[in-house]
Amino acid sequence: MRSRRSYLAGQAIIAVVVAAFLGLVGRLVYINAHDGPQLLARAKRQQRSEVPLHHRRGMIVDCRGRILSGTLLRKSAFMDPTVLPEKEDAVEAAAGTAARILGLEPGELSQGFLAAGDRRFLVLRRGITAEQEEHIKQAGIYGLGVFDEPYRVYPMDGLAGALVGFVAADGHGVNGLEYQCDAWLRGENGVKTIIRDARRKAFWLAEEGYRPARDGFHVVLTIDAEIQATVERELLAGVERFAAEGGVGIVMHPKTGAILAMANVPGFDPNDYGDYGASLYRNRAITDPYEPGSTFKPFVAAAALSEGVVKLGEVFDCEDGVWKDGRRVLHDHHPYGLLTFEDVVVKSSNIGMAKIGKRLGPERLHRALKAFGFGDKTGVDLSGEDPGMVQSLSRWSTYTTTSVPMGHEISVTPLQLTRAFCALANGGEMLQPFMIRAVLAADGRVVRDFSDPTPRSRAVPAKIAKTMKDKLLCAVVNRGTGKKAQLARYQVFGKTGTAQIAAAGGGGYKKERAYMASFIGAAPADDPQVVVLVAIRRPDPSIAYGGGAVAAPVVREILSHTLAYLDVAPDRATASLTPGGVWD
Amino acid sequence: MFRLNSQPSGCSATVTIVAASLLGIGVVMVFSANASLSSSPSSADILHNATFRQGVCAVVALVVLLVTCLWPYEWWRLRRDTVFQPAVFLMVLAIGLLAAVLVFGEERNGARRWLSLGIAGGGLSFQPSEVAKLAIVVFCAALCGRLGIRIRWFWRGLLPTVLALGLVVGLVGKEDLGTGVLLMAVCAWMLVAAGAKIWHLGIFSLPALGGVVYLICVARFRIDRLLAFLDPYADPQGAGYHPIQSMITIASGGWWGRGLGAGIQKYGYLPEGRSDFIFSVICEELGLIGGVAIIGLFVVLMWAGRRAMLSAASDFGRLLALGATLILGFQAVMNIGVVTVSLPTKGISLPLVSAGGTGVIFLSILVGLMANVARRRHKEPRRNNVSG
Repeated sequence: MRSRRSYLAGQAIIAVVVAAFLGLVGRLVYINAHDGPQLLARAKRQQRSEVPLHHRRGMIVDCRGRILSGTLLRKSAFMDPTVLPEKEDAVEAAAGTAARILGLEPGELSQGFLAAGDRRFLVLRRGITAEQEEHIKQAGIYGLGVFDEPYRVYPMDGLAGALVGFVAADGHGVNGLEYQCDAWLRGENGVKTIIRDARRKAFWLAEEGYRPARDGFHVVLTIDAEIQATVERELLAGVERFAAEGGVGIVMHPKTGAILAMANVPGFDPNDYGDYGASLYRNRAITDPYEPGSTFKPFVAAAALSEGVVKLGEVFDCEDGVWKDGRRVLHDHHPYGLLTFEDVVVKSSNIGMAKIGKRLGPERLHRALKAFGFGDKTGVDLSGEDPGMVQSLSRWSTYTTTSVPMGHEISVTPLQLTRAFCALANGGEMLQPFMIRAVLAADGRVVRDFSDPTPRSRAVPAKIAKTMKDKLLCAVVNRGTGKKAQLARYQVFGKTGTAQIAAAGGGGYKKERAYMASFIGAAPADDPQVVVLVAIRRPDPSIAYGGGAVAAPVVREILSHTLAYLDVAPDRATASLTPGGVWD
Repeated sequence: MFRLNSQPSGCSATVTIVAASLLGIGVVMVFSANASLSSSPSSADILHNATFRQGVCAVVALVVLLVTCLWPYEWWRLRRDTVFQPAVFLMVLAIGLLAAVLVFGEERNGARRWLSLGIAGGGLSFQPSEVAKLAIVVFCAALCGRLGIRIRWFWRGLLPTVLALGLVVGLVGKEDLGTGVLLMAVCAWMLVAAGAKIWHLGIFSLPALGGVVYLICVARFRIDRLLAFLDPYADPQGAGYHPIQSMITIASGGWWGRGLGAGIQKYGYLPEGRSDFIFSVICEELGLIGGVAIIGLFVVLMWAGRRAMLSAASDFGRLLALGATLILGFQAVMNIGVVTVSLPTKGISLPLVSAGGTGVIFLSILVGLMANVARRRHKEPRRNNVSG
């Protein structure tokens, strides 16, 4: 009986233990199946941390691959204040040492550490020296470290500054192409997942948590840095020579619409953009419309020719410089008597142009303006473009028809004017101006190719455009107002313009005689390769203010350098090849 | 005394193989759990290298196991008319060590459980409660075997037995409540199996329960652990840290484990990864499947213990086999119960697997005794059964 009980008791308790073991197996299954996801999430939180892998912003390069904007790495000092002991004197000691090394204010630094809260990454100083880096390492302050920080450099300094724009400290483009192409230029940060031990020391990389950074795309421009530099240099020389407020220059390829240069003077250096006023950030070639004045006359003349309201050689009475049209009196700068149609343009007679405008009438004139793209954005691939101003037909007064032909009561951007002039240079075709030629991936693969923008329309028949170029615009340079744009080896054609700058808010012109002196021209005449517009704002009238005197020489210099640089064959036999005049 | 003519039984071989497997797994897992970036192994303090120590102890344990397996367990029985009583000596030794640990013991993790062997011992230390496990099982089995039917007497049978056992249990339980409860449960059930009257035992259950409650209440950390068991997430960085980390470790392994050596939790997240929480590390690295395999080995050990018990030739042998089986079984259940947060946290190691030389060696003696009982079935002289 006693033995039986010992057998029973023993067997029973062993059965209980085995049952307990089975229960524990069940418990294991339960932990895995039921609590598993939550526990694994907890494990992930405590063991892993994701570290960003920084991408590199793409470059902006000119049409020959010269870097206008690029990214380099520099050493910057950072601090993780959360690892400091929670004692004020310890924080102050760390801040004091860090401040001494980095040349900062110790008090501010310790205040910053104390106020940091949960933030584990405070950038103390960007771009430290190798010496400072060495000192930081020697100081051995827990939490103070050095990291590689990408930063934007503009190796050509201020070249095309207003075009390229700049990047804020956080790496976002805030202006110009940096802003506009931000989505391309920005890459994607990658991530690596670090497995840490309980002391937060990294000891392994998780295979599944790794995604490499994708570097940003490079943007290739149609801009040629050489031409851009020429334009900026000559423009600045012109502005300084005539004590002007500023100037704009554009060089465009008349057959494709590619913008080879677009300059604003004065410019700014994106490397130190903070040192310049915000008004210098503007790319006035597309943002600032102005009354074009006489540079506008060729387009009205071309329209009149193509509509058949005038004929070549037809004579206009220019009224000896004073003509009363209705109640308004029009003046010419120089009084002329009878002028042929060609000479109305060549000599830039306002009265002659007003009469031509009257012949065209408002409807045809308005249609012609639209055909040349005025009053509409050009659709150039730059942000902030202004459409200019062409009054809708219903709002035209009786004087509008005579004002517009001499470039009044209308405002155009320099780019619109250049584009319209390209139509006269290329046989009447309106092109799509563009500046972004291609987008390349970091490995050189072409992501987007914009080198052939398709939209084209016709402004005037090819014959009319050729007539305008050969009969009128060449004559402007050869014997008219644009003589200062002449080159010895190339036939230049173009048109001067001297517009009074309207007072802000409209309603007439300023008393202080503020002018916009401009010249738009192209060369060589038999096969135009470049169209150049130069507009100089507010030259000192005591020196000169006419487009022919102020802007034409600048265009001449730009054409001279650019045509030589582009290896364009001369189309004029020069009378004398003097050593100094080879490149004229 | 050496009688090598007895036939080895399959059962004793099973016990030996299972125990050797657990010891081997233990060494491997201690090696794995010992991995840490903060300590690099150096030959200078190889004696302090847990893997090396566990390896040596496992070899010693295996030798001890085989010797115990061969040395007839009858040697431990209480003899008539002599002062040579190995079971009593063992008991006195255990009491002496437990008393010594109260006086000279080193305190670790808030409990005084270790006796330092000092410089002579190579800076090693020793856990007397492990000796107590062996002593109490051997002594209880020997005493009950000697008392026979007299265990049913209260004053001259059960009471002295319980007092002697209670002294040891109390000494152990004061510093190590988990082991105390374990020993108490094993002793109680051995007494039941020995034939003590249930209501007699019932009388002792009251002071025993009172003692447990008292010990819980005097130590703040025991209450904290109890509360943490009920809701570990109430204080995840404090008392709830062990349970939560243990469960994270188990869940990290999934069904098939991260792979041997590939665990992450052992890098400082899971405390006591190579001793009390080694089962979690096994689950993380070898998966649920590995954990179930360990449990399976213990179930096989239980099955072998049951066979040894059933086939034992004497009451002493039967109680010895039962006691040894229960020590291993209860301890394993308690350990796995703790790491799976099925039981409140206690400092209980996984038998034969966890790091800890004393535990491995003395538990191996118990396993050896179990195997010895198994292989000496029905070889005992008949008289032992009567006079036992």
